[in-house]
Amino acid sequence: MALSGYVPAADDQLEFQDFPEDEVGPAAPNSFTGLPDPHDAEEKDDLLTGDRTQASFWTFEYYQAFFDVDTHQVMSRLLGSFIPRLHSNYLQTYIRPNPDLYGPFWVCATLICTIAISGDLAAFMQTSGKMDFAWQADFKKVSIAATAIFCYAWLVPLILWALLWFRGSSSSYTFLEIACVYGYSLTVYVPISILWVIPFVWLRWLLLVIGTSTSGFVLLWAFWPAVRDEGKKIIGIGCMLLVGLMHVGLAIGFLLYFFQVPEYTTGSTITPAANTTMSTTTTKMPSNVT
Amino acid sequence: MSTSARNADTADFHYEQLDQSIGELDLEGDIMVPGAASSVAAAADDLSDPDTLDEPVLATVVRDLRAVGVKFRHVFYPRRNPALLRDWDLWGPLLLCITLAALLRRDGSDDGGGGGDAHFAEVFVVIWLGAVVVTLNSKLIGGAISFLQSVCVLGYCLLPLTIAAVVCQLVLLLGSSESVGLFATRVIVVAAAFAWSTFASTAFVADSQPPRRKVLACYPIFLFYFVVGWLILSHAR
Repeated sequence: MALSGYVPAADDQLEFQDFPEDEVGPAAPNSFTGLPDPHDAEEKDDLLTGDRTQASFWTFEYYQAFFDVDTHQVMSRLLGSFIPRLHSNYLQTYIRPNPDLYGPFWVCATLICTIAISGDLAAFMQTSGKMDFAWQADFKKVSIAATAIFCYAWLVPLILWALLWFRGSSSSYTFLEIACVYGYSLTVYVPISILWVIPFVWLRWLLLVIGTSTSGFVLLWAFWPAVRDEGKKIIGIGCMLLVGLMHVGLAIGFLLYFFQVPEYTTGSTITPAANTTMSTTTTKMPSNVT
Repeated sequence: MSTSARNADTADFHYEQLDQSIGELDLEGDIMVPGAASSVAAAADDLSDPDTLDEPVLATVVRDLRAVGVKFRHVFYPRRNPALLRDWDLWGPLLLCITLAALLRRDGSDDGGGGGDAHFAEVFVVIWLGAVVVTLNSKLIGGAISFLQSVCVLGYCLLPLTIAAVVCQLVLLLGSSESVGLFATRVIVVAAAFAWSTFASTAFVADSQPPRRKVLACYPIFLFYFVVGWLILSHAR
């Protein structure tokens, strides 16, 4: 009795219905679930960083995941890479949620340009008194700078990651995170390489010391938790020493290779007159660079 | 009423509608015969005609050049006009890139190394590779712009810098590269062209980016034009 009364009613209800277009809008799923809209850009970072789906290696989306950063994130990472903070670890506070490759790549590209250009400018200023110096963009310098910087930013993190993995470090730093820290740690050399145009040797070395000590401190502080509970102390300390020495060595290499004045004329040194023209052009040129 | 009967009714209704619409279709028209003189003349007169098979080569070239010219004008008045993005082509970028590389060519007699051809190739590769890398970057950070559209915009926006290179070459013809006044002129011209190129291309490209990533998309463009501007400025002879 109850069943026979029920069936026709179900037959009436199980029909397709037309809903007007304005009721089935993009906001409709929210009314059913009560969840916030996942397409909302504000909420996306907080909600989806934990369980991000991994796309296939051969798709474009796989690489887009490495560039998933916003302007304010990049800015804070750039600043944090050379402002030492004792109470916070750079890798764990700035990089950890999602390491990106945007910053490392463009920091390296910028550094190649600034080093090659300001090296050229420095050579131009110190030889501007001599008429026979043909001043041109030196592509050999650009390619050497590019090779050195990209090798440093990729090979050193690879070695460090392999070492940590081999020693079974408990910190679980991924290669991407280490590469990201290394890429951002070169940030401080960009303004320094522009300031190296000023032709005072003591100023150049002073800038080098300031820059390498601040960014080197951030770098070492970021990797310290990874080697702190290392079984053999000598390997942990050696690892830290290697990281620090390579960071300083890169900067010294830049300064010695790109900013030493080659002698183009036989035996003649730079006269005081040439020095004054240099300083006048110095005041003019950085406004062009920066 | 059963469901199948209702479906048959609906189908009948659709056939009736189809019959009516076929009956109203205009099936008359002229058949274009390629050999016929009158039809060829008509096709040549009407430039908006999509059939470009029969038109003279000159008309094709002129029309393409006109399209390039329209885009050059857009670079000088960078309004928010999507025309440059919609009808992209690579003729303008190729033209500008070759002009720039030829202007920055180094004399073969120069013993600085490399010879003339090396510098031509370097400038050419820097421009195309730079445009490709900048485009890849804007795609990777989530820009809604197609690959060749972006290359097209970046290439066309080299126009101010190409003009600056021509001006610099004329300035260098006037006097020696050692004069401070002439050097200052070159710096000012290249800086203005660099600013104009960056402004024009970011006006086009920034719209395709999410608002919080505009700076991330614009910075590589800035760097790209800066390097090209530096190449122009550093070309001293």
